[in-house]
Amino acid sequence: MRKTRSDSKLLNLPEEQQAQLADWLLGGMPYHEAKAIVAKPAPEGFGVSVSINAFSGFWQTVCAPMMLQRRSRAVRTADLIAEEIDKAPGRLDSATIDLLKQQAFELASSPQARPRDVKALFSLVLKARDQELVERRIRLLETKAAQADQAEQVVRNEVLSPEEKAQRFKEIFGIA
Amino acid sequence: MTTQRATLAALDRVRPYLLPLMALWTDTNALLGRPVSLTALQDTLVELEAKRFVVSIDQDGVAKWRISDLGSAELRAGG
Repeated sequence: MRKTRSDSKLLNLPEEQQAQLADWLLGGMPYHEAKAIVAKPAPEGFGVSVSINAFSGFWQTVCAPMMLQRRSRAVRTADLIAEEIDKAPGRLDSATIDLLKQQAFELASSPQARPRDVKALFSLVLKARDQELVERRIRLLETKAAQADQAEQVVRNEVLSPEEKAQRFKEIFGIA
Repeated sequence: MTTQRATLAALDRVRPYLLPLMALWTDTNALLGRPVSLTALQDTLVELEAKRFVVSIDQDGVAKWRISDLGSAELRAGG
């Protein structure tokens, strides 16, 4: 009777166990650690004893395609975020936009990241940026209102000469 | 598939984004039947950069790589 190949053992695991193993390996678990875990009896492990080389085969057959898929998904997620960013030109400078897009891509590429969470995170970043702009606009309006009040007092002042008033206006509006 | 072509293909798949070196190594090996060492990949990158097929950028002390227009054209031409 032919002996089952060591890497076949991993490839013949039930689908959910293969998915679990792929999750571990894609999450950075070293082969020797994975070997020890899968050798443990269920429910902790899979009760399968294989060589380290078997994990290379499993990686190439199962993990590598999954990883490439994940990378493609990360590109799509980052592209969606990039569209959101590009919808509001002028809010951020181009260097910041490029950096945000790259960060979105890298975050979406990470094993634990879920595209929906990454998009939500970047929406928050953009909203925070919007909020900052609104606050800046409000501060600017408040400054202008205060300047208008001061200017009005100068206009109503009957003691000041026209030259003195002109000088006050310059001071209020910061004109050199 | 050669290492050069796999490297270009890995970068082209994520264009226009940059791939950190370690991620590029994993992706290149995922495309190759026979994995290459990190040193071999770095040698390949030096060759590709000399041909202006790839661009390297240092971000926060991490080397990241991007395929250039020339590199993309080379890949599509089957080089």
